[in-house]
Amino acid sequence: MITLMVNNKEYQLEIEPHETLVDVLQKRLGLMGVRMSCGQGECGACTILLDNKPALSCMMLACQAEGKEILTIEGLGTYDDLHPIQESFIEEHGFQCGFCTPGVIMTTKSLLETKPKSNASEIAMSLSGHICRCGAYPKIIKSVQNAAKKLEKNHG
Amino acid sequence: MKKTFTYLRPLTPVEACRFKEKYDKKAKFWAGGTDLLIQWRSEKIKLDYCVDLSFISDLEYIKKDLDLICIGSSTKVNALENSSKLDDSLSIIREAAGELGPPGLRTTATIGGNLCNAAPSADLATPLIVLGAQAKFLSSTEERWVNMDEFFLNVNQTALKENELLTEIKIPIPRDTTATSFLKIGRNVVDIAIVNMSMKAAMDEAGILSDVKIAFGAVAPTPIRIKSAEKLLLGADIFKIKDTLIDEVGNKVAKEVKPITDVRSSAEYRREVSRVLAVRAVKNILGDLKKRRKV
Repeated sequence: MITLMVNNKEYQLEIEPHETLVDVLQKRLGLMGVRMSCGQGECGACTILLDNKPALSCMMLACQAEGKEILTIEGLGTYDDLHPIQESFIEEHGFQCGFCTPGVIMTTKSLLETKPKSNASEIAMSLSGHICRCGAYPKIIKSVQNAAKKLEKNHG
Repeated sequence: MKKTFTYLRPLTPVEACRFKEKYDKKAKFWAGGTDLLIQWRSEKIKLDYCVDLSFISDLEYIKKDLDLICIGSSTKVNALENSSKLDDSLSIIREAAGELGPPGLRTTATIGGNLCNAAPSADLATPLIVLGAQAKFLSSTEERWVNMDEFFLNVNQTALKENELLTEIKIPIPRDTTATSFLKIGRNVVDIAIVNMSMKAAMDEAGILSDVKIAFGAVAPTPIRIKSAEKLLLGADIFKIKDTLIDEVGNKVAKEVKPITDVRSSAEYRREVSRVLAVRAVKNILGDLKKRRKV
């Protein structure tokens, strides 16, 4: 039995030791915004925030995440009340199929909290672990820049 | 349904060693797990007992101790990348950490895991080798120190005995007349290296080179020192070094490396890249040392 703190809620779960964090988030908690793609740390689709830092949920055991705060895209905004980063990605068309988007947005959140005034190349470096098969990269960067502006405004 | 394993969670290094002693070869120390998870899934390793080191808070630190920097083996790669304690000549550790896999991986990957997995391409290996680092091995009854030079024995094989745990890396802080360089060539900056390398050199008051160390990764079964190339530079005057000597260093490196052909690169390409990186590193270091002489 482990206890996971996901999107500000505590869950007590009976799991197998080898289950990865992405497995548990998807299959036990139904959080399908966490995407499973390459399964070997190459693509970034499974990125979540672990104590506010982007982490690959396919590359760790769920047991290792006990005691840490896990944030997924589901904990960021809701359909009726989107997070400014989510709004920015919609406004700037920062995706096509949207499969990589939740991971990209989680990394973006961490980046804009630590370095709110990142320039385009810093944004690109921080997103270097994310593969977008649609090749929406230029618009992803624009979306992040737009989000930075929105967040700055919100903070007055 | 795949076989699973028993999960053990020690809270101290000694407790971890005791688990390992009890289950011996059936158990493995699990640091970040980013390498082991893939190896376990593809059945490259057998694992009956997973000794998770993630909850041993005593193994996660970067601290300065007189003329040493001490790094706990469970320190995250991301913490190395951002540590202000790793400055000046030690910044090659930060640079290597900053190119070790994608950013999301560095949040969980650890220095100890990168070293103990002993991939020929381990990015943190060559900086620690040229900096003259030592590794602390702990068992439930004793401890010993091993030079990073002698840490790697073969692909995925280290000097650690079955019952020993890597707990700390200590690095002597170089004198301020020392310069270092870390270079890596990969498909992109965050990919597994095709070739990576580090170099260190110090100079005396007259600008004569001493303490030259050159190490290469991904060009042999383990990261290696290229001592014959180091010798060429020892005693050279930083203001009088000719380009022919620098080229000779590159040629020597190209001759000494023993690369293989694999999915990432051909052996020939690795050899040529090694030559080019050696020359670049020497030039970086000479440039850096010359600037310091002027100040």
